[in-house]
Amino acid sequence: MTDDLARRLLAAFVLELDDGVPRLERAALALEAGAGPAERADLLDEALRTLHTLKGAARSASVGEVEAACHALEEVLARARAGEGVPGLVERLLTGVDALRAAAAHLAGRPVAPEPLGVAASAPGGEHVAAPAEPPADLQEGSVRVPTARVDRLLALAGELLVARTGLDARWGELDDLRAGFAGLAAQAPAALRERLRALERDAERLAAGVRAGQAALQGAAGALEDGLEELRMLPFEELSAGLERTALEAARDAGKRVDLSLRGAGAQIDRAVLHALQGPLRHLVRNAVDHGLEAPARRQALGKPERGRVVVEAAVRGAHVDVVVTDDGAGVDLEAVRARARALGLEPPAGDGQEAALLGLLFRPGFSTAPSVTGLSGRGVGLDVVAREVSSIHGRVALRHDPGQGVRVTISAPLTLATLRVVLVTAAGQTFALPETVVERLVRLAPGDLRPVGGGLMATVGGEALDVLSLARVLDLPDAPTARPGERRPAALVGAGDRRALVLVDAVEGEQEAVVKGLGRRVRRLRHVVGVTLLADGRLVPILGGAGLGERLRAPAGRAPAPLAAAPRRPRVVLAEDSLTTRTLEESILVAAGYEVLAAPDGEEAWRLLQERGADALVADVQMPRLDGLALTRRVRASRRLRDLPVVLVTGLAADDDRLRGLEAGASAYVVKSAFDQRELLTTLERLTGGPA
Amino acid sequence: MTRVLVAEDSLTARTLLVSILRADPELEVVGEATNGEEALALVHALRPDVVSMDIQMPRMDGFKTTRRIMAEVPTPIVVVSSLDVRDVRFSLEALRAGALAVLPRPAGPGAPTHEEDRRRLVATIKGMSQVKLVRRPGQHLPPPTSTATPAPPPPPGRRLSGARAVGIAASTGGPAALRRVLGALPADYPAPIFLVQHIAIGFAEGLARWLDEATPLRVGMAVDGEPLRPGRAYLSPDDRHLGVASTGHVRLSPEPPIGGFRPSADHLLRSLGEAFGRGALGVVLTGMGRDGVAGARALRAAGGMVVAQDEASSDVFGMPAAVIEAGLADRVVPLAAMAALLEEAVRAPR
Repeated sequence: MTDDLARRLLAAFVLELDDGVPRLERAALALEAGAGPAERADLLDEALRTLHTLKGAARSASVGEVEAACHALEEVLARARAGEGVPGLVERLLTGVDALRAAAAHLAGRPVAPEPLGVAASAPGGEHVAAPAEPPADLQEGSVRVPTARVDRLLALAGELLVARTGLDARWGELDDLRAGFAGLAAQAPAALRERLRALERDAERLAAGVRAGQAALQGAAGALEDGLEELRMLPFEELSAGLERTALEAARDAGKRVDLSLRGAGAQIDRAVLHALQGPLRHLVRNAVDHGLEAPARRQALGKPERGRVVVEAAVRGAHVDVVVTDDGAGVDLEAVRARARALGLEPPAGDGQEAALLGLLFRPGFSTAPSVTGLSGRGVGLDVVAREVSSIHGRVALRHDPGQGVRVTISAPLTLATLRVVLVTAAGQTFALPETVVERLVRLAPGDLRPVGGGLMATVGGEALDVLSLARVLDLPDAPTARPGERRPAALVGAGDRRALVLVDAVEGEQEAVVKGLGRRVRRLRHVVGVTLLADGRLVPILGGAGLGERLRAPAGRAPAPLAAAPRRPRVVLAEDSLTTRTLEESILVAAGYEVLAAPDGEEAWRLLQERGADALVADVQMPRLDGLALTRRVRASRRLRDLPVVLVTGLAADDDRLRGLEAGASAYVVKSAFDQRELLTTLERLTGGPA
Repeated sequence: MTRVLVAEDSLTARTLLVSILRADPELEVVGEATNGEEALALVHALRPDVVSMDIQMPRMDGFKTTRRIMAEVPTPIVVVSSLDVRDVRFSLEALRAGALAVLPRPAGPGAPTHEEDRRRLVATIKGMSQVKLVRRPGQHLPPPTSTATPAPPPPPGRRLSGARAVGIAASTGGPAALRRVLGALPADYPAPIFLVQHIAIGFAEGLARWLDEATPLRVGMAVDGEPLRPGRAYLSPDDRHLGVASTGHVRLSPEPPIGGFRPSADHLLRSLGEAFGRGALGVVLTGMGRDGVAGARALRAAGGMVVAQDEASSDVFGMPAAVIEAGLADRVVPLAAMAALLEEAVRAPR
């Protein structure tokens, strides 16, 4: 019993900390912002009251360290309240706030990263936090404290309700058809049946009308219930203000700059899970704006800018999603530095049309901003790739624009709520998929003439913008068998996920609908491009695509390009030389499954014979074989006039650099080490060399 | 089944209090309030047998809530408070406003004092729920004019005179009564006054300060070996017996509790009798139990005088009643007349 009590006390204490710590922080920030004596006294009193309550709570929960910490802070504040000058008062208070926050996270088994919002946000570490004791109702105000988990459960139930209603809508449609079928039947029937049929017709009418009315009532009630529940999950954007102000303050201090952070659209109501997920990215962006964007005060003055840099974070609700824009009035992005960094990383800096957008896009790649930064300051900024990833996880998008010398503008678009999602249903490779509305910018139809081959892939221009064209089937690693007839226009979606945008060809667009998002559950291995599943009215389970994984797959290495619209299917022929039966069988089956035709040989001589007699599109050979080993075979191939340009892939257990070097010297096109045999590498390499099966 | 209302704004503290109380089979927690206004409303609605009252609450603090409850629907109130100076002061004010007892917040299950805190809370709650309260508006606050109800004439008793030291013992309702009595004494009261007040450990210092503010006399916590002075009142510190040495110095003793009490009224009155004989004056004020009877007997045997508070003015007519029934009371007076009697006893020559 005592263990249970101890757990409940800790859970209650965490709730009180989650409530009190933000209040302390706000008081500290207000004190820092400068306040007249009367206001100061009020703020100190408020802080003292909060600390006092937390101290008592800590005592009840037997958390001695926190009790002592609160007491110590109380003494400091009491001295300040009594008029004594206390150096570094705000620092000490903020340090205390951080310590209390960490304590709360520790007690609740949460990771100690972003601050919890208002009332504890959905805590992942559920096991440590038992549901607290019955929260009592405040009789006077009529407001209730409810654990987030309960609201989420109700929302899930509301979601089931939506699915059931959708199903009912479909049944209503059928009923209506049935009723229509009855109508007029009586007139056509022989006299004997007429009376009964008329009666049935009337019954059908009545039933249909009754069901319609019931459905309307259900729609009204359930719809209102769902909306109301969704609202419970909403918090105003303002919840983030204290955290962002704090970040700006600390970043400015660290960087020796001055900054004014202002928040606009504070009242925008946003799902708490979305708000929680936006915290991290927004703090990164604010930090980056201060660290990298804003110039040092002296330089700003020299440029005629106000000494204090301005960072504005603005939230605007647009229909079912919210745009959050972080703007700074700093120097913008140094494109030359970006180019230099790209070269340093071994990437070819984009050139020609659209290079600025492409250069800015590079900022979102891993490894770009975490090293010595692109603006020349020692890198303290956090990589924008992290921001892109976090935003993807809530089906959002992020885009960066800059005005040279005037500042940078980063826009995050995210859905307002995550419980239900408006999705576009598409088919590809014979299956149906759902794309969140926030991911689909627009739907277009592409004719074969719209596609231009560029560097191993295809591109098309839509709305004046040149974009990669990919096939959804290939993006998902499914066999691409387009159902469109050659020459027909194919539907495509302009998809933006993470920081990538591309045109994705599909077989058909089925429609749009409101979908209830269900997680994949723990038993399904994580698919980074599938963010959930939804149940359609007809009972089909449809995966919802999105997330960072989808964004990554939109990068177009060769091989994701769709099959040419009018070409016939082709199966490249591969000669496989491998002496081990097991390995040969395995490799053969892999290649065949991938769409290649395989001629297998147990040694180099046999392989040579097959190449001569039957010809091939590629040779895959082991190095160590009897009669003629892989290296010798390769040399022979390179010496032959006919087979000189044949792609040769050596697949071998020899992993040493020397061996690799020898293979390449012999003329191999590629060298795949099979100690950690990963079919993907072999297939990718083959595809690259041969263009892959159609 | 004793019905309890818990008023406490901190969720954690409330969880602990409710859990402790619920664990006792004779107690039933019938309601929980998170602020003073709610507490008042629930007392009206639920009529609990006793209220556990936090002193620091939003909307209406524990002190104001106590006043309202005692004025509108008198109910036994046990104040649960932290030991911070401000809180102790408020708690004592609440006692003055009619609350019956004050306890420190119980420590959580991990702490060493938890078991004892738990027992004490339950015992106090149960004990105070038995106290019958009579609606006496403004009883403990300084009356605007002389007492509304005329005090019954004192029973004919022994004339008191020649007092050279006074010992006052009190329990439930004591702090407010002490404040009233001491408040009416002059700064040059010639005899040293010893005070034994049954109160939870941790509150003695706050009590001394609170009493000191209310009287021209100087009230302080007794220090072992202190010389006795006129115009001084010596309050028993936490968890020690208070007495006086024949040399005329304060003597604190760590001897075991008597009748469960340390400080004990028996110890003080006996000690006064031994040291001052006929000059010893013992006063037994409102309180639960029988502490003081044995001491009063010893004091009278040594030639001293004993006064008991009357029933009408006592919050709990336990200790005084025991003394009276044992035939040990030389005088029985209402609280309002106590200060005058003390002056008379010390001024009138033997």
